[in-house]
Amino acid sequence: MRLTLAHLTKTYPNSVRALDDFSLDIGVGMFGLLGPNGAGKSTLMRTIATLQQPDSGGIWFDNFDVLKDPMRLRQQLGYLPQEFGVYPGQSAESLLDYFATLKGIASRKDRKKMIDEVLSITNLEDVRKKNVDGYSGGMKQRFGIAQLLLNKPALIIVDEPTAGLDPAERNRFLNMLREVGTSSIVIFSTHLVDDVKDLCQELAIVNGGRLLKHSSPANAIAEIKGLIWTAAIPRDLLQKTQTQHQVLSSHYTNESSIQIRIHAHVKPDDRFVPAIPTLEDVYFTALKSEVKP
Amino acid sequence: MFSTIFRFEVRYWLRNPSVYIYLVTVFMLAVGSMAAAAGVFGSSSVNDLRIANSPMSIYSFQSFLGKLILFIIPAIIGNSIYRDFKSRTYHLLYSYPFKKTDFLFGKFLSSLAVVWLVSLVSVMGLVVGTQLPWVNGGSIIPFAWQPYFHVLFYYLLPNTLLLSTIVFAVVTVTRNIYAGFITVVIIFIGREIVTRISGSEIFITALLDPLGDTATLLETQSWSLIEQSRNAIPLTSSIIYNRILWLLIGSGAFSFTYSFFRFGQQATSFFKVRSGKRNDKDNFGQLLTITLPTVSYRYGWWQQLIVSWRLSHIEFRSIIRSGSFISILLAGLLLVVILLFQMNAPYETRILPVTWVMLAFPIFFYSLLVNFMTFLYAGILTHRKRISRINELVDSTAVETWALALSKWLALVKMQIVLLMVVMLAGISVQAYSGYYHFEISHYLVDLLGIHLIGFMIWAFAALLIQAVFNNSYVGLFFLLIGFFAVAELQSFGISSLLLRFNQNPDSGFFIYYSDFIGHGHALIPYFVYKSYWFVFGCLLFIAAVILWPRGIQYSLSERLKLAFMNWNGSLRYASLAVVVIFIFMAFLISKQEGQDHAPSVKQQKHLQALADKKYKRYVGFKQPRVVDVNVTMNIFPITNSFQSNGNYRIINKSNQPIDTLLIQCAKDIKTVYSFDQEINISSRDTLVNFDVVTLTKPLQPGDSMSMYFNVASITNSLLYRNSEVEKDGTYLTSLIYPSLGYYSNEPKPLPSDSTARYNHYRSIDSDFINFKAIVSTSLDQLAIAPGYLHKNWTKDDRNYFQYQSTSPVTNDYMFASGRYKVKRDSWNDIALEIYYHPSHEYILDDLMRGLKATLEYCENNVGPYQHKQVRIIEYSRKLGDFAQSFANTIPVSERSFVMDLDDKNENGLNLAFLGAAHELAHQWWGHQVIPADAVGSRMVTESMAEYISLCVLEKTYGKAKAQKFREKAMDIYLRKRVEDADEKPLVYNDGLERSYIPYQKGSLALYALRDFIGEEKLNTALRSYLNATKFQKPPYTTSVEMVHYLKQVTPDSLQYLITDLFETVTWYDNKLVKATATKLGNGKYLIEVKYEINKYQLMNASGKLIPLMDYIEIGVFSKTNKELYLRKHRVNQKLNTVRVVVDEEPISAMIDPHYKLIDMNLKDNRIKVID
Repeated sequence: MRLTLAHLTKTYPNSVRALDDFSLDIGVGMFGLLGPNGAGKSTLMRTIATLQQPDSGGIWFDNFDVLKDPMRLRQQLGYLPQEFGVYPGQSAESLLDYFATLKGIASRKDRKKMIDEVLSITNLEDVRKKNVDGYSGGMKQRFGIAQLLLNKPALIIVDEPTAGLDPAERNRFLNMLREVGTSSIVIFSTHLVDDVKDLCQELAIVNGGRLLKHSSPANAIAEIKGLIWTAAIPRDLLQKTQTQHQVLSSHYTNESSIQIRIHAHVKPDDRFVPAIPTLEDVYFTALKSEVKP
Repeated sequence: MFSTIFRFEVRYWLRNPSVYIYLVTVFMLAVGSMAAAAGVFGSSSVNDLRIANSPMSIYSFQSFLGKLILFIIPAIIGNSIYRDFKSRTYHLLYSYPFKKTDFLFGKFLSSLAVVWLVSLVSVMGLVVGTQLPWVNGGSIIPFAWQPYFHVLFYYLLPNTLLLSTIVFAVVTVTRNIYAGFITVVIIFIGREIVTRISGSEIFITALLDPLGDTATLLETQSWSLIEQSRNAIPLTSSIIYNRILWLLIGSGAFSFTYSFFRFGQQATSFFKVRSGKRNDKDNFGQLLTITLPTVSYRYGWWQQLIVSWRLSHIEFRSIIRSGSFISILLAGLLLVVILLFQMNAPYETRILPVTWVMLAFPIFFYSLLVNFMTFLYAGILTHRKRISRINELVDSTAVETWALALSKWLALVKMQIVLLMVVMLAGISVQAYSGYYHFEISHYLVDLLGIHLIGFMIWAFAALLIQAVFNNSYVGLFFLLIGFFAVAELQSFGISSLLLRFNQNPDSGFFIYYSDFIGHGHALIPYFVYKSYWFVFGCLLFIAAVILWPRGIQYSLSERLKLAFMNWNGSLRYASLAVVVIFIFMAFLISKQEGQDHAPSVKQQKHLQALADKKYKRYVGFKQPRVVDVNVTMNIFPITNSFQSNGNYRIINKSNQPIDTLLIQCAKDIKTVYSFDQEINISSRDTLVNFDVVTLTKPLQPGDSMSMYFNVASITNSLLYRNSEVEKDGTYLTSLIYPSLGYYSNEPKPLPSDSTARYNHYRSIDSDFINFKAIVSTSLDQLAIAPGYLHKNWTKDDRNYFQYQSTSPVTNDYMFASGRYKVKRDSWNDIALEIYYHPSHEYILDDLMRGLKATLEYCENNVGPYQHKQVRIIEYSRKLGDFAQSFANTIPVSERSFVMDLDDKNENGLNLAFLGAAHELAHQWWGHQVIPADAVGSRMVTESMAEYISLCVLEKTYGKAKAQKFREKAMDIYLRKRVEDADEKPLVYNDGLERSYIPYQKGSLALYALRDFIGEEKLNTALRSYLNATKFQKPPYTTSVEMVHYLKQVTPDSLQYLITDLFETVTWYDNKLVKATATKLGNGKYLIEVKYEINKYQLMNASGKLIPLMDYIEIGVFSKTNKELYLRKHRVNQKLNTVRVVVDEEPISAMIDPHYKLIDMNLKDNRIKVID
């Protein structure tokens, strides 16, 4: 079971190129899509979810052409958009029944069985009779997962699901996703490196509608081993250093000095000491390399 | 800050395409309606006398366009505040540091500016419409800015301002823009209700109409056509008060919004807020394994069908739970109940609350409501997923788009059913309240769901398509409303085929003519033919809606079109192809049917007749032999809706010259074959107007006779047209189906002074009096009736046969009836009285009988003997007409008059069954004994007399008070109708059917007034001697002038002016009581002084001219209990007059002509309170 994206291109009427010759091949497991805001992640995900048409390019899932037969993909698709609302005044139970109907569960008994299960998985059993539009952010995201599971999707797409969740909710949410991802393709986008680190077998870094890097977290980190350096520099030197080196990240250590990390093939100068590369370094390295062609 | 917000908002609107759509459409509509009225699209049905840009006409256009603009208000004013909620920017926006004043005024005034711009554009459109080069110069007067200024500043701007404040308040409070639309509809319903309850002539009603129309109507309703095309719209106190009141209410609404509005985050709920519960989190941490249960998934088309049915419940529930829907439902219910209670206006026929009445009265207005709700909710349902932002979840599921669209359509249909059930609920409630317990649930259901629903279903298809095309449901609604009214107007733009007029009915009001005899009869067939045709078209619209259905996210039109083309794949492609084929096939079949047996339209017929009149002018008054014997056999076949008849005429040359040419006029839409017992040649045959000229080989010598044989048959009904007058039950046929001799011209009738006119009487031109014999047969379950006496009856071959024969000479017009009748019998002095009626219509039989008896008694005592031994009243189906007619001893009366709710105890009501029987029976004297010549004025001899006698019989039986009610009503009708008539004629020259208000209403009033002035006995003497001198006469026949001559003979010289005023000219008064003062005298009596003003006008050259007085005017003085303290006629020869009289009790009021004997244009100022 593979999802193949080939040469996807999409330009919006305001001439923003959201996808630029984007190709990718994804297998079973958790797949992290990493990129800053506006990188084209949502466009990509909506395109895979058959909600949007690319200008050119193709999508194949399990050896069929998704663009030609979107309905076939929708049967196997679980999609959770970045933002969604629900019909007001509807309980989780009745909304799930609505979605179960939409997703083709014909018998009432089956629907009930499935709804009970997804409510239990997402731990919404106690609030099943409550109106979803009154749910907190975390509960609502869990509801999103619940509706997504109803058709036992082989392809799951979740767009920035952890944004706005408190740490505990986020943790729980990611665990749930991982569990789901054991037998399906799960594509999940985020701009938080931490989300991807422990969770994903593979990741892709995207910016400006282009694929910058496609690798596994471990390999990606291995690739930059020995190329990351760190130093503490006075605050007023930051600007100058940025022009000289590829500064990946910087943060204050105290009022006047800044700890910076840079990417370099050789030790730049004595101030710098080698650092253990992190996924964050991978991410920023990829982004910076794109800015400076 | 204000200016920042204002400018920001204005910029927002200027960038919003919907604003341009509104501007352009309103402008085009204004130009178009003005252009249409000015004859740009050819001469329309609009009356030629009307001026397209007269102030009144501009006002009417404004009134229509203004109402349309009101439906734009929620989309603009409502949207200005709703938008922040919808896009959730209010979270952010409301925390900004601007003041409430700046915010609210900025929002309101900027959007108001847009609404006013639309209003201004509508007026500009009207101006442009008058300046088009193709306008008909006759219907346009030179441009003047005042009327446009007037409607803009006194109506359009204030009305839009008012509605804007109210809608602004509603949307701010509810945070629901649809509540804004509903508010507009409810205001419309409210207006309707207020007008219905308090009547359109009352000051309070005028004040309460938020749009000011009622107030304006109050001032302009009595305008004549000429005044309507000339006068400026007045600015009277009621209009000014109305405007001030509603502007105050508007500012009230705005200040309410102002004080209500907080920069808060919660919408206001009108329902109780349930107490909140604490929500603690305890779901941290644990890991789990996911195993989903085994369930089966189905995606086939059958399953999709089930899905759409299930989804439709959900959609439907979302509709009926919305406050908007519930408010409309309640308002609709209230409206229908009020419409039903108001259907019996004072004096009007009080109809029993039978089921067809309950269905027919509210349905026109209510249909508008149902359609509006369909348009509105089509938008809400189509866009609701996007507004709830659940669309990405829904759109990415494996549900077919058609299933989603179908679920919306099904939900709309369910909503329509609920709305229609309101009519049933209201109908049954009103029936129960009125004590009528014959509930016909199945009749309600069949009519509402079986007949009306399909029309709404077709609109639901169209609504879904339009709403799917437009991303903005307000623009969709706007276009749907315009489209709805536009297709209804297509006919006036020359598109007559129903194949091109979307969802229009072949006979727009057929369902009103429900008959207990035959239900809806043939009308249902063409109705369903066209409805199925448009339903198929609706399916095409639906397929288009599916293709264009908003699913997923598209950013540009080209992207949408690309997707639409992709959606139009596989099975949809085949389905649409199949539907197109069916549609074209149906169109082909129906257009073939439309061409077949197509009866020419009224307009075409008139044209043909006018051509023929020119061509055959020389045959008018051409000497012809006269029919003296009529012998017919009429076979009626109710089951097949047909008849076949044969018979013969014996015709005699009554002139003193030989006749060699016969003119044969055959009936239209009837198959006729004729022959003679003489040799003939047909010298010309005109199949367009069915007129033949026949030459006799041997001329018919004076005094000689010959026979004419004929065979006539009905044309069978086709799919679309009802050609035969024969119904399954309650059939009524007149002798117009038979051929006649001579040429009938449609030209105006000659004057009484025309001696050739007096050769023929008004009932038929080919005979004087005839002997009549008929054998009528019908099916075994029915009775058949013709004038004359039943000679014998028998049964043969499973058919009933009846032989009728006249025993005294009758006029050559007769009728046949056939139905499953019950018969009620009675008698009066050896005269047999019979009523043949539908078995369930027993309501008014006694009233009819009493009417017949009282009239026989009155006429035999005062006029002369009745010429027959029998009177029969026969009920016929409503499908065939609403009138009653009088034939020799036989009176057919429409079913409509048989379901009246008569209550003699009701002071205001008149017993119309009693009066109807009296009127028609009186025709046996006035119309069957005295038969006037076929000249103008003939109806004074027949209708005025019949109406006058019914008034006298009413007075004798029910007393003076009822007779006064009768005259008040007659006066009211006369005054209202003469305003609409640009060419009123005096009674003695009244010209027939089109101006029935002259012979009927004015005739009865005039004769009654004369009776009052000269005394009943004197008048009766005159009428008797006139009757005796003219009854059963030979030509030359009598005329109205001769009748007036008899009246003059009994009138004293001092009152001769009355004959002139009442009969020979159009004369009226405008009298006024100026002042009445009373002084108490010593002996407990009172001296009262009454000052009054008398003006008498005569119609000369289309306008009233003041004429000198030498008249008697009655002055009455009344006590507290309305007792007549004084009543006497005073001779008056000047404008201002004074009377002084002593009365026994304290006078309270004084009145000129308290018994409505004179015709007075303005009765309101005839009574005055007495001051001490």
